Amino acid sequence: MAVLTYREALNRAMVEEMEKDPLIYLMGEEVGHYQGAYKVSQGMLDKFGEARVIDTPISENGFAGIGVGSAMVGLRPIIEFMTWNFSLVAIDQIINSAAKMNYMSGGQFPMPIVFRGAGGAGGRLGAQHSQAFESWYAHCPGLKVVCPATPKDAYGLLKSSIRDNNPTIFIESEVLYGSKGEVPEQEYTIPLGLGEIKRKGTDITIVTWSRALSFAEEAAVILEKEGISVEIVDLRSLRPLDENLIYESVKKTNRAIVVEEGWPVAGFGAQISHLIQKNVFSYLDHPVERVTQMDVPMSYAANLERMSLPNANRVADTIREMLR
Amino acid sequence: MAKIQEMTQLSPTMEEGTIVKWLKKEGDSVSPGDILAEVETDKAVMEMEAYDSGVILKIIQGEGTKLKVGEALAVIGKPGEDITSLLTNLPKKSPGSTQTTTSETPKEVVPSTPNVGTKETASKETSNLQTQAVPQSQTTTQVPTPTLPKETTNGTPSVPRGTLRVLASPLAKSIAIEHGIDLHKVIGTGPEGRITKKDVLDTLTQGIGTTSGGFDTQVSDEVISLNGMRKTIAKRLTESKQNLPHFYLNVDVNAKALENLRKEINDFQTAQNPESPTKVSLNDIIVKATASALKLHPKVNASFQGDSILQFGRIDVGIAVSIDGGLLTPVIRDANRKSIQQISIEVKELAKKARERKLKPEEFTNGTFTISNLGMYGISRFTAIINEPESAILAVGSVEDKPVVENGAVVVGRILSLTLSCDHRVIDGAVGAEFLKTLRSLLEKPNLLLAVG
Repeated sequence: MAVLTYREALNRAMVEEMEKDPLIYLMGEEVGHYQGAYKVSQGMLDKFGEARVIDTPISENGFAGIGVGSAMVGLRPIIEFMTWNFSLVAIDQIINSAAKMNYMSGGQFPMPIVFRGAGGAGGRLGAQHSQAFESWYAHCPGLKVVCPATPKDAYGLLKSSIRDNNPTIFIESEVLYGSKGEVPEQEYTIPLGLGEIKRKGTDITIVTWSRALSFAEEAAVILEKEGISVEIVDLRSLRPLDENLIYESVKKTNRAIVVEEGWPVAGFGAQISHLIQKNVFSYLDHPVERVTQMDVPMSYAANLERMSLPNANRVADTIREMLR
Repeated sequence: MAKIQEMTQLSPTMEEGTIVKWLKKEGDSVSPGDILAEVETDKAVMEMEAYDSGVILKIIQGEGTKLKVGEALAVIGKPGEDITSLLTNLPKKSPGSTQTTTSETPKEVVPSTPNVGTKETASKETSNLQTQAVPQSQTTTQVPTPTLPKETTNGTPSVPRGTLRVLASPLAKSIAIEHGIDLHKVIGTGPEGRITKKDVLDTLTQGIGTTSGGFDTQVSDEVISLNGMRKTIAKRLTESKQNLPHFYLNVDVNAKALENLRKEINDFQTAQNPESPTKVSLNDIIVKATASALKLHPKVNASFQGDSILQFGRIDVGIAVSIDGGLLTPVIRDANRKSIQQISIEVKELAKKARERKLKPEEFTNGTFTISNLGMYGISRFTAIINEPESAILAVGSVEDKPVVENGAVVVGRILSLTLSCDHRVIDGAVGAEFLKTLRSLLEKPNLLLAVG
C-alpha cells in the first residue's frame, strides 16, 4: 500500500490510462508546461508530448467544444478546467452538446469525454472562485457526476470515468489535492455509482461526498465521545447514485442527514432527502436534515468563509438536536 | 317494499358483532325466523334471524365484517325490486366497524362519502394521520368515538384514526401499528412533541425508560389483540373493581362431611347406573348449599340499583367457567330448588356449551350470585371480583390436609377455604358474616340441605 496525495492519485490514474490507450489526451489551461495549475498533470507533458498534453489559451468554451468534437470522431479527451467556476463559460458545450450528443444522434455519437478540475471552495478565493457545482451538473440527464473524497477513490473513479463512454463531470476538491491516503499499488477501478460506507454506526446516517466527508468524519469523532454512533455513506458519485446503500443504512439507523458543500436551494441533498422520504418513509424517526453552505455568495474573509461552509460542529449540533 | 336487515342486538351487552358466516345467499327466499347468518358477539357465536319475508336482494356486508348494532347487513324485498336508492341512502359504515381479510372479500357497495378535512392546528407540515371528518350517519346524531386500535380477526390492528392529530414519526407509526399501540396514549418527546420510535418502545415496555441502543429489539414482544370476550371481561371487571366497594370475608370449612357425602352420592349413582353414573363434584354440592344459604339470607341475593336495592326473588347461581381465551358464567336457575344431581347435570352441560361458545345469552346472564372455584388448580384461597350487577361472589379454594384442633388434640383435618367478596353498598360485614356462617353449617352438616329449600 503506497501513501499518495489526492493529486498524485489522479496523476497516476491519467498516466496509466494514457499509456494503455493512445486515443486519450489531456487538454486545458496550464496542463502542460506549467505541470497543471494544481500540479495534477505533473510530468505528463514529458511523458506523452505536446500532441497528447495540450496547453490552451483562456477559452473554456473553445477547448470544451474541441473536446466534444474530438470525442465525436473517436478520441477520448480529458478536459481540465482550472476550476469548475470557469466551466460556466463552457456550460453550453457541456449541457447542450456533451450531455445530449449520444441521445440526439440516436446513439451514433458516444461521448467518451471527461471534464475534470478543482471544485468547491479553496480558501480565500472569493465569491466567484469558491463554488460547488455538482448539483448543477447532476441536474442534467446525460452526464455522469463523480466527486471523490479520498486519494484511493480519486484514482479508481478517474480510471472508470476515462473508460466510460459517457460524458463525465469529475469534480475534484480544491482543498483535497494535498490530502494523503493509502492507495493500493495494484491497478484497480471503482465502478461509477457505487458508494461506500466510510464509517459504520447505528444511530444516524450521514450522506455525503467529496470534501464534506471530512466534516462528517470529524463530527462522528466528536459525537462518538458523547455516545452517538454515526454511520457515514460516501456516495462517491451522484450520477449514477447508489440509492440502495443509502436506504439500507437509513433502515438501520432511522435517521438521515445530508452534508454537502454546496448551497441549500435545489442542492443535490434535496434530491437525496426526497428519495429517502419516498423510499424508506416508514423507517424514519426524524425528518431528513441537511447541513449545507450558507445561502449566500462565499465571503472573501477567511473567518466568514469558515462560517459560511458546513463544518464538523454544525453537523454535530444538528445531529444532537435530531437525537435529543 | 324492500327492507334493510340490520345487525340485531343478540345479547344484553352486545354493542357490535362480527359476521362469521352467511347461511343464506343473495336470491334466497327467507321468512321471519329463518337463520340468516352466524354472528360473533362479545360472548358467543349466535344465530341471526331474518325479521322480514322476501328474497335477499343484496348482502351488504360479507363474512368477517364487524358491525355496530343497527348497521345494515342485507336488503330483503321482492324479486327484481329496485333498491338502488335504498343502498345509496345507507349511512356509511361507522369507523367503529372494520373490514377484515377473509377468503371472501366483503362486498362493499356503499358509495364512499368524500372526506372533509377537519380544521387542524396551524402547522407547516401535513401528516398522514390527519383526521378525516366522520360523516354523521343519517340514523343517529351521535358521532361514534373510535376505539383504538382496531381488532381484526387476523390480529392486525388498523391505523388509528382519532379525533386529534397525532404527531409521530413514520417509524413510530409503523412500530405502533405493528404492536397495536394507540398513539394517542403515547407521550412524544421529539421535536414539537413528536412521538419517536423511543417513545413507542418506552410505552411498549410500560414506561420503563430505555436508552438508545439499550432496547433489545431482537426479542420482539407478542401483541395479542383483544377478542370480544377479552374486551368485555376487561371492561366489566374494571368497572366492578373500580365502582363497587369490595370487602372480603374468609372462613375455613371442615370438609370431611362434604367429601363423605360426595362419595356416598357417587357410590349410589354407580350402583344405580354402572354404565354411565352421573358423578357429582364438591362444587355441585357447594352450589346447592350456597343457594340454600341465599334463601335464608336474601340480603346477599341482591343488587344495588343506584337509588335502591333490589332483592331478587329467584336464586340463580352463576358458575365461573374458564374457557379458551376468557371465562363465562353460565347460570343455574332456581338452584335452591334443584337436587344436587340435577345441578351436576346442568353444570356439566352448560360448561360444555360454554367451551364450545354455544351458550345463549339467557344461559349466561341475569344471575343473582356467582361462585368461582379454583380448587382444582390447587389454590388454597383467593378473592374474586364481584360480577355486576350482583352484590357478592364466593371464591372457593381446594380441600387440603391441615392440622386442626379437635377435643384439645391436634389432628389432620380436611379444610376448605371460602372467601366471600361483598359489595358494601348492599351487604354489611355482619350480613355477609351471617350468610357465611350459615353456608359453613350447611357444608359441614350437609344433611341440613334436606331441611332447607
